[in-house]
Amino acid sequence: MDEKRNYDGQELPLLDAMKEHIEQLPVPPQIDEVIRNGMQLGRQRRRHRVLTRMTSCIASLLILVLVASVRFSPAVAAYVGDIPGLRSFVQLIHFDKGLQLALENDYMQHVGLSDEHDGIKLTVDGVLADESRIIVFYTLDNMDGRKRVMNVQNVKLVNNQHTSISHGASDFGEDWVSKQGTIEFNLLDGAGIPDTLDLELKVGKDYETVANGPIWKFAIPVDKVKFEGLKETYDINQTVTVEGQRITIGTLTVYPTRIGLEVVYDSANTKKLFHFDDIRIEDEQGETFGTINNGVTASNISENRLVLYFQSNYFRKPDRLYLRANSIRALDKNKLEVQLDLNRKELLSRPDERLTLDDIGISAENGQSILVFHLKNDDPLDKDRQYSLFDSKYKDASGQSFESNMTGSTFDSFQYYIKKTNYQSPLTLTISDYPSRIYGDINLRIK
Amino acid sequence: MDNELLALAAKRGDDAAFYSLIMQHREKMYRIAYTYLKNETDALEAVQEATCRAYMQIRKLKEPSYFGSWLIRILMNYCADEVKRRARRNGGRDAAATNVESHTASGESALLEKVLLESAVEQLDANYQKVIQLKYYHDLTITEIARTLEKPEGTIKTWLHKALGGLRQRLEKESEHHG
Repeated sequence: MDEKRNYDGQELPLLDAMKEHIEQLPVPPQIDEVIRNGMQLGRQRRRHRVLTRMTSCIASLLILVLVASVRFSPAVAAYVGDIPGLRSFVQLIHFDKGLQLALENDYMQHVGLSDEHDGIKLTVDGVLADESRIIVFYTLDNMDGRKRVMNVQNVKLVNNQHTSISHGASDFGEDWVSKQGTIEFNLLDGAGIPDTLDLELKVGKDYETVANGPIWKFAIPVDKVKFEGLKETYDINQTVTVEGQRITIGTLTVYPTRIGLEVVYDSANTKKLFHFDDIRIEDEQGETFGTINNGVTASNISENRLVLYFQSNYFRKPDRLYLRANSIRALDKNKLEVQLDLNRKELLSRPDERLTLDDIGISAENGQSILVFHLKNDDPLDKDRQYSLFDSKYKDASGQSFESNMTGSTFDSFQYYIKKTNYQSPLTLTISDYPSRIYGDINLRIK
Repeated sequence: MDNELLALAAKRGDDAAFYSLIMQHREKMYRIAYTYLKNETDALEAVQEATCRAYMQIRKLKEPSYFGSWLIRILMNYCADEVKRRARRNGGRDAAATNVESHTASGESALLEKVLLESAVEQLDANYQKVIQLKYYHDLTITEIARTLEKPEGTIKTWLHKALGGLRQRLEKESEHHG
């Protein structure tokens, strides 16, 4: 039948020749690497799947990056839009009212230094600085339109080592022309701000590709006079009790770019307190400023003591200030340990039945095992929250300690990477955040 | 492990399973990308991008046994967009059609025939092109093509029939010119 023969392509021998030609097409050996890169990229790009890399070098800092849902107010956007060169930064700080106010009040120090290598120009446009942190605003320009994904890597402050640095990786379209971002420097205890920031960084797709690449260098002047003496300190020193758990609120320090609040949990508490859901600072008008939810959210000073950071209302010059909170994520201290039988792939102990073990997989990239957990959680308070469930340290039955260097989370699933070795089952992991809560009304007058 | 189980594991977040599935399809992916993009660098880039997208979307894979078709669909969508973007950049000129790869071992006339065929295929409607390429260049069955393009098998058969007809016509015309 004619029809059938058509499908065989017999009437078109050329097609067979073509097939042969294509089958003989050599597949370049880089294909394996390209596939690994593709997976790596996929991991980086998963938007709502926040990947937290636990770094031991900045163990004292808790860095949480959450998806920001706060919109930039039209009034501020209109105002900032009037200042040339600042319009483009509006998007970058739309999640932080305090930084928006700082921009509005002309607090940004303009810099305008550029360095260019390999067709990628990086311009440091300005800095927002005070005694607690420095935020560098930069623009990347794709001069010849060739490069694809380009992120800032290997950021170093050459003349001040006592600084922790955080900068996000961003999403790039395939044809990008210009891209803006921020790099944040947190000044650790007593580290003074130098008059000039000697900044070095690399730009490239990932950590490996930039290894032998060029270094972009900047000497950024910082006008310290601009923020000298602006800091305001309030000693609150009050203890509140929520469902029997005692919390002492210490000193509140207001800087132009953020507010730090010292919080101490009583070591005799029966529950471990993880995070405040809704702690906020309110002024006499009822305007609230929440915690910082994009960047460095808190500094852990010791097990029960931390400094929690809020978006700053410094430029509002409020007459009165109140500290309010209604719920805290917390868990009984005797339920913090999760024991996991590696052979039978099951949990021997867990906080409650909402946490289950889905699977134990193996990472293609580095051969590490992946513990895949499932968390059933319908709490509306957690609608947009990605839980970072476990501490990076874990141990096996022999008591030996290990450290996980990667975790990932996807909606209700949570991956915990453990290195490949002979463990004595069961493993013990420690819960560092969990959707169980205590409720109460904290309402303190600060000013 | 059987591929359906691998795909299920990949869906649950097992990277090793995902990797081994992709590795099974790597040559097919590369060759399909090459058919569209006509050079090694862009074909590799396409494989990388398709892997990345598949990795990001693996949880949305509805039918684990169709992983291959699903993956090829992601790749083809990327390649089709890439070709369009290039055409736009070149002001409508189709740069790819004139770009004959150099490392072919065939002689002059085989090369000419190949170019003729390629250009004839490229003149077909997009859907006809796809079925011809998948069926004859990459050896997919009608069922596999139907899954990849998310169309009923009957439609694929019709397209294939019409595509072959159109192709034959064009080639006859071409060979008259080149006599």
